[in-house]
Amino acid sequence: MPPSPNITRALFCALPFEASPLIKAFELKKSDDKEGFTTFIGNNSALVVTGMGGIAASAATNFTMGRFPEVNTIYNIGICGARSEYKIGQLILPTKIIIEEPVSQYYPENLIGGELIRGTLGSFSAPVRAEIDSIDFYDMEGGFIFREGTRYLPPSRIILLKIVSDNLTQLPASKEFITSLIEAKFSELQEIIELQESSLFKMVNSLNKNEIVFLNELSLKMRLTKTQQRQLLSAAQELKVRGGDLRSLEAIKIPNFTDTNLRELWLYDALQILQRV
Amino acid sequence: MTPSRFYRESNFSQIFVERKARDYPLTQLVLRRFPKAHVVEIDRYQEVFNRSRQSWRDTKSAQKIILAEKTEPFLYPASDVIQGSQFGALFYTTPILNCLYDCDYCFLQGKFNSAHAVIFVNDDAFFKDALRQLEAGPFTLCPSYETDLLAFQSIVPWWQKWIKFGRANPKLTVELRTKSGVTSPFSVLEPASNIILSWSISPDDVSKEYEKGTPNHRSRIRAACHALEQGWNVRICFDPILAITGWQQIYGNFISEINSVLPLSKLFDIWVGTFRMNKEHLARIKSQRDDSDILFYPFETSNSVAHYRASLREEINDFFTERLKDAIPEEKLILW
Repeated sequence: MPPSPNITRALFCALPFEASPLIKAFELKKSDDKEGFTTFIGNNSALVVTGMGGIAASAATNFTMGRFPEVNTIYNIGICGARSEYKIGQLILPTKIIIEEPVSQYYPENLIGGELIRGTLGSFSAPVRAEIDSIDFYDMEGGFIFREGTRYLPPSRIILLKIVSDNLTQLPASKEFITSLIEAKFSELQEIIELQESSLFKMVNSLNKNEIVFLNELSLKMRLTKTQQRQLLSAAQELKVRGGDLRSLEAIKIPNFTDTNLRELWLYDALQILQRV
Repeated sequence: MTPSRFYRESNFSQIFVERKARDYPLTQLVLRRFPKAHVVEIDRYQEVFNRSRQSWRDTKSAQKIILAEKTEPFLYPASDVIQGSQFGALFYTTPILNCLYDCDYCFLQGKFNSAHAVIFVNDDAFFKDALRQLEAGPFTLCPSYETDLLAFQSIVPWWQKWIKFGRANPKLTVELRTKSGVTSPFSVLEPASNIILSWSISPDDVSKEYEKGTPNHRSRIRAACHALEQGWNVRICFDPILAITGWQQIYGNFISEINSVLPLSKLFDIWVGTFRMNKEHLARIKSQRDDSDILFYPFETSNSVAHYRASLREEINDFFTERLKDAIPEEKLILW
């Protein structure tokens, strides 16, 4: 499997003609990876075409989160059926999700408000052709993507955005019509995605790659045990948040050889420096 | 330019209501207070509040209300981290979980999975349980331990309810701690000798940086003065004291200011406490946020509590004792 680029956003669509407007607008390229699900990547995003149904959606979510472990936000974008009071083309943000089988319910952690229609989304194993009490919107994937996504990310980072394509009684919509629905809502979808990602809390003082390499090199030179390495990393992280400089560790002389006593003495000195306030 | 159709969700724009809680008067009161909120019915509050892998910080950015019915226990014995456990039976109770304010040092970030405010609406059950406990003898109760009831007063009148309950039950001592600067809720009530209104105060250097959303110390002190003038028992809490750079000057100036505007000799007492937190709560907070230096201090740990090293604690306590000893009798200065 080729190394994954820095993918932080996963987009899931059930159908290729739901995905096509997003692939075009986000300038995504089809991945060469032959394993798993059809995936398009680019601009920190991976768009995965899951196929229809809960099993496919669950599998695609797990596959993608394993393939791109740096993903920190998941979107499920696609069409849904709706009760008769909702209009074709309306953009939906579910506030409750019910999965038909096995019966379970979930509550999205929505951070975005505005011109969005809210209600309960039911995710079913087959298309629903009649209204069900207490369910406003109907699809076959959203609940499963949410459920599986919460194995990896907080609920606040899994967003279901659905566009009403029918009121359950009509014949299935054409591919072109579905594509046109997504296209028509693209600017709104993009606005929501940008707002969502700017609303999330970000860690700002995590140790960067260079700092981790520096600490790992020190650990290796000093042959620190796993526990000692954790102590060093933890103290280094604390120093960084307090605004200190890890390079202060360079002031401690590294002995030519290491035995347990020297190692412990070195670590003691290192922790003294890192824990200075 | 077209105005944006979307925005970051504001606090309390969504309210979850437990099915069994929907008919309580307090539920109806809160729902009337937020007529535009999206109301979502749930089976149990834990479905939203306790679910795993939540981001406390994300949920704090769009805090929601959960209206729920509390089940037993209603009273919890106080832990060693709470001052006052030396004064006999001390319990806390939790009519609300979580707070309107966003203090960096707040243990609730590490205790709960989400920042949403759970408001329990079965007030009678709380009071019945407190009465049952009173049969075993007098005790002190802290209903604001996991929240700030006075700050919530405009949303739900739990603060006022505890005052009324306390007044009707003189064997009970009620301590209501707050960082709020509002005065109207207690201005309209008669003081009672068994109720202590307690303000946590910090210098502006601390509150601006580490107590987001709180009123400045002048508002809090004004409120405390007002309560004193009305005849309430008033406690001032310098808690938590943070060992930030220049703490001696910052807190020294602060004590001088307090001494000049607040008649300290008239206070019920003063509590002084340095930063401390259950070590597991602290570890959990540090795994979720790395934007606050005070949480990343090299603390010592004893009895599962992370705290400043003993010599620093002693230095801070001596500093406060020295500066307050002429203003208030020694027995009224309580140190942690």
